[in-house]
Amino acid sequence: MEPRVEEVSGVAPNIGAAYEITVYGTDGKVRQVIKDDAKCYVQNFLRMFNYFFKNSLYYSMHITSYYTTLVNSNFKNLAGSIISSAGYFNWNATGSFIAVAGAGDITAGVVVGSGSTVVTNDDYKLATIITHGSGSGQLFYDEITFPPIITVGNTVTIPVKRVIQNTSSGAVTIQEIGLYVRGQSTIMILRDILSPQVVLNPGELVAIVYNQIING
Amino acid sequence: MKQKSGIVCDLGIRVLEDNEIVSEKIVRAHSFTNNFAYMLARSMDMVGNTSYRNTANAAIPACVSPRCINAPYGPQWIAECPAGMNTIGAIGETARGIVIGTSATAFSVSQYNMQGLIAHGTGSGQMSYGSMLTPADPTFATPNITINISRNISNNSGASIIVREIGLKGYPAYVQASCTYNGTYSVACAEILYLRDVITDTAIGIGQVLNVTYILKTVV
Repeated sequence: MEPRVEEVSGVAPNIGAAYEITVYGTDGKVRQVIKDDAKCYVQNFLRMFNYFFKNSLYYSMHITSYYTTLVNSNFKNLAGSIISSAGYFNWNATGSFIAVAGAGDITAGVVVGSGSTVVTNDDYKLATIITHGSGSGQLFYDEITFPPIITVGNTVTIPVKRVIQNTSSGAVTIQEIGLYVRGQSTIMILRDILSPQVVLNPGELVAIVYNQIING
Repeated sequence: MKQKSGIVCDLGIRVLEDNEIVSEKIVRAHSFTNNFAYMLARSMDMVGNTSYRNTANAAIPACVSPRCINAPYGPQWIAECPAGMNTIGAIGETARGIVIGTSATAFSVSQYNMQGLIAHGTGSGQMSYGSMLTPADPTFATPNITINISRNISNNSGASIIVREIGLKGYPAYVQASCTYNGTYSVACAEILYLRDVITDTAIGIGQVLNVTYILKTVV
């Protein structure tokens, strides 16, 4: 028998994530930029890829061909409850891992919070999500946008972007960010604690881009 | 050098004979094609991209607005953008699952097919594909999470075969629906290459089994 060979090398993961945060002052000028690698690969993120390997269609009891193979992926919803694939991918759901969200919708896409609880891989929601609105401690969420996918060499970057504005009368501190996706219900697939945190003063806005990066 | 946080993909290559390991190695996969990225993007933005291509290099149709289908209990709305790769190939199936080939052509993210696919069978240059082997659920050992998918492929031909490339293909559905109340629907699937790796020449002797495992795991 030949010896076991380990050839693991390199620093970039095959699937990575990173975020870019740009804070604009009330004068429209950039006053803070944060760029960092995500360090937040929660169980739902891996379960999503587990689902990808095994499935290609929402739950559909009436389509019997093999491409409807469905395996229970045991996602955790925002309540921390295990939900079956049938529960998440109900057969009349309009999609599977949708990050599309309109203004004010914090059930999908990039979301922000004020919690600073250390990230663990069994996190299933932001520690303390900041709700949409103009009241005290609230922020105004714009719709999710998808900037063009970027390919450089063998690396493909998939950005998901949201602009969030402080229309309240007091400063709001953002200490955590997350990426929520939605099937029949919502799950969190990424969560990061910001360091430094972002203090958003009244009238200021922040653009947050979560990049998912596939390295060929 | 320290590995950055993320998900790494290792490729385990094992040759067995009479259930004994003849050789074994694990290499870091460098295998993610554009299709993998565009599959992920498609599931999130519900739009699609013409760079998502099948093994004939034809673009997969972009997603469109949800439509209704005539389900058993009345019309149901569905999206023309289902997520997933559907890689769980059955015995003998090379349209999906881990596949192998003879070509050493260098990897490129824009590749859409294996460069020299070894067909299923017992004839000259052919190998016998087993069904895909997958765990029901990822393994969670805090802080790491691991997913393994693997396949055994046997050489039942009459001569040794050199394997130089390994890939992962899927056969996902994209829905073509035309529906009014109680209307009709149809479902189409596409054969798509998601991963491809070029490996050092690996000879599979007569009667030997090649076990290939893609191992996705988090690094934090």
